Amino acid sequence: MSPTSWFGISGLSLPLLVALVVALLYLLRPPPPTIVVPSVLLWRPIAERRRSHTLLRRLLSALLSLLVALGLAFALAGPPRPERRGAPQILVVDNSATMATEVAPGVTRLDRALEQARELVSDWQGPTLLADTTGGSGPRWAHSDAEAEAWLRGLRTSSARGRLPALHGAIPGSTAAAVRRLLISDGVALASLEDWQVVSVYQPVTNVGLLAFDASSTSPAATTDSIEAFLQVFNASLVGVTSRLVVERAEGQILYQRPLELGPRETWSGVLALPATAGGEIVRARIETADDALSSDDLAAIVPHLQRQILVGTVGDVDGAVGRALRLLPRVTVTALPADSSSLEGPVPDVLVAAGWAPESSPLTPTLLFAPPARAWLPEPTAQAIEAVVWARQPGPRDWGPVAFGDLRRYEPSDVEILLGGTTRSADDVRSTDTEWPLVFQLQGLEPPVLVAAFSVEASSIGRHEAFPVLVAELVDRLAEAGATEAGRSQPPGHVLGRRLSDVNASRLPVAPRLEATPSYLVSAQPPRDVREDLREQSRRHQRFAIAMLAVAALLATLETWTRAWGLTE
Amino acid sequence: MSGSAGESRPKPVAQATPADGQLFDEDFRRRLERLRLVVRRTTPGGLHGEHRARRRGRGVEFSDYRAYVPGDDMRDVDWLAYLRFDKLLLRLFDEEGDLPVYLLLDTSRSMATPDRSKLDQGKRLLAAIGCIALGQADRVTALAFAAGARESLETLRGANQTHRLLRFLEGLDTASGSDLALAVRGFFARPRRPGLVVIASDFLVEDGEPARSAGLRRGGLPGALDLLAALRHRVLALHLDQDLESLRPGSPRFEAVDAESGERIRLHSTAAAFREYHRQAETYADAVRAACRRHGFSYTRVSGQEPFDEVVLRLLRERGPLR
Repeated sequence: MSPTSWFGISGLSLPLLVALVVALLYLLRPPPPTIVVPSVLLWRPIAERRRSHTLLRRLLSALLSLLVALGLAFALAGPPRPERRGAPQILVVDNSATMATEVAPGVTRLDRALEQARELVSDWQGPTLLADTTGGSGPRWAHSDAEAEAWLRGLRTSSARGRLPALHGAIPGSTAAAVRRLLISDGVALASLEDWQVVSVYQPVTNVGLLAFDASSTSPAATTDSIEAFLQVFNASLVGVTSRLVVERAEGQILYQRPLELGPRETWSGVLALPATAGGEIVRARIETADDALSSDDLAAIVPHLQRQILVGTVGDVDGAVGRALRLLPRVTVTALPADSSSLEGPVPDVLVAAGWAPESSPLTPTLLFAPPARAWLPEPTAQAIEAVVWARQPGPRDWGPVAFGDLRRYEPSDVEILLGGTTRSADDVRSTDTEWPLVFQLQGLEPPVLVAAFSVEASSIGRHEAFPVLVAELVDRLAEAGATEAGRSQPPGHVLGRRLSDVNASRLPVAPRLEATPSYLVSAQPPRDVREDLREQSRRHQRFAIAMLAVAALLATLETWTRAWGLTE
Repeated sequence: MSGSAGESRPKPVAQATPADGQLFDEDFRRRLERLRLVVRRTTPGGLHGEHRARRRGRGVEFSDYRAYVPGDDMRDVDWLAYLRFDKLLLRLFDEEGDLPVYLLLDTSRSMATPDRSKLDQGKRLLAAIGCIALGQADRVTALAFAAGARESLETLRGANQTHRLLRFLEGLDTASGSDLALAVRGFFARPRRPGLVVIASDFLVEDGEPARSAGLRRGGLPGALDLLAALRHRVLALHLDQDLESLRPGSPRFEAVDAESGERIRLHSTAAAFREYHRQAETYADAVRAACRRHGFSYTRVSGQEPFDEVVLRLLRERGPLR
């Protein structure tokens, strides 16, 4: 608990008000009654003896009266609370995938969380900063129940990875210490919860889901080669569950199936050799469990990667980090091209990679540029990147991948490992950006697509980043794929990043990594608490405090009476 | 004239204060008569009206002879002795004299504050003593004083004058402050025979010796006593006391206003304050008693609620007959 709020700037009002009232009552007290006595002869020495300490007696009497009044006021006002009237609170509602778990027919954990959120907002006197854990609904201040209801009604579960949003700048620094931070969650692992109070909506359910599903052809001949699939299944239940794993084509032809008996919180992983499929055909993995409470993690789909050699033509100085990254790619053949070559001999490269050089006109080949292109074929100054993706390290078959989408402004620099794209980036932004983040922009309106990495490989430290080869591989792979098919060329601008990353996302299962557990599992410097119990305890504490204050007031009043009877006070 | 001592004994209950003008009602007169009977029976002879005067004169009982000196009344010469001894001798007789009794009642405002209990008690006591004196054929003079001598009822004699004394006392009311010394000086400025001076007062007088000796600032009694002693009077001081409870207000604070001077003092109605007041009152009473004792005068402290006849009997038991 923060220090008492009574003695803050605004909290001084209570003691001052009480003191003012007591002083007024003291000044306005009725004059003493007049009694005619035979003579003041015998009273005079008594009055003279008392007169020597009159000021002290009056002060003592006023002080005791003030303390009595303060005791009564504090008894009524209750104990000092950090949530003084008007102070803001932060309420984060977990809307990660597991919140869609049904805990009763037609009632999900998110529904329960929303009920709790409404109560917490309604009971709070100050404004509430509402946020979710996936960034789907941006943080919003709610100054009334209606505003909060509007935000809560629009909240949906998301397949993105849940994490506490960074709200450092949302609360003024002066009041940050007094802000109550609440997280309503089902207990899915989140980042550090220090200083947060957790309202748990967790209820044990039966749930088995897919953690990971990836599939790729084992050779460039996609139509003839077999497919290798990686699967990971997790039993999030607290009891053993028997499930059935099915891998099938889109039209329903089963490619693989088997029963799975998983103990509590047991994970099963496997690499499957599947029959070949036509390129671009969707392969689905499905887990079937009786009474499964969460359906969103029971199904995953992917278009198997085509495995073929990609001819990458390099222009300019690509012997540095880019060159090394290209040479690490197993399906890439690198050929160096002269910068001034307009008619090339030999096979046409699938992808051009240029470092320290840019063509004077828009290239006819999908190109990855590490230098600002000529302004003449730059997109419109107001061009915007289609998509922004944050990459972060993830467990699973791929170390690196996109973790969230949406407005980049929600992410603090420390959250970003690798950033693809940008929010509102014009050509000037591309040329002038000096960020250390590896911004890669797709230039709009160009066919074939051209990606421009808005950083200097040599000047930046990005070349030494462990994810850099993965980044280059992704970019080259997608450029090659876009240029290799008519469909890719006919897609609207932005599909290179957009479709590709959407595919990647499809392979990243919505709840991975995920673990359901009791709230005690939550990683926090403070033991997770149910805020409702806190409120009950606060009420009990209020009662104890009021009784104590009343006792103190009664004691002081008695003392004041005694001192008056003893003639110690005026 | 019937009834035993037990029957005549007044009930020890607080006296009801009659309305103005009815102080000496029938009940009072009946109790007064009983008191007379009780006094006559319990002090035979001594309280009988006649008093042997010290000076010798025209009495009937022979006392002594003495030599004639010029200016003596020739009618007192014992001519038979002259014939036998050839000397002019005068026959001396003890004169059967009456006792002058002066009843001084304090009628300052303090006597009727906060109620009239002290004034009424003073009136009753003086009426009783006066009636007893009149029954003994003594001369009774009554004086009401406040800041000075106010009004007096000059010499009464004989039991048939009782009603005059009662009417006089009954008609007295309070006025102004109190100055006993000034009243005594004014009243005894004219020659008066030495006698018994009965003073009924609360003695709350400013600037007197009792007050000074008690650590207080008021008094007025010493000067009066000195003067009375010099005039060879004997004094019976009836100190009418105030019931402390009648002063206790309901409020925790109060402002005491002097009934005579109008001086105001703010006080607290605490037990400690009233204990202190009680100590002050005792000290003051001791100072008044000491002033009386210094001249050999009698002092009696009387509560306003005490039955007057019991007070008179107590007086007679303590100091003897009225002489």
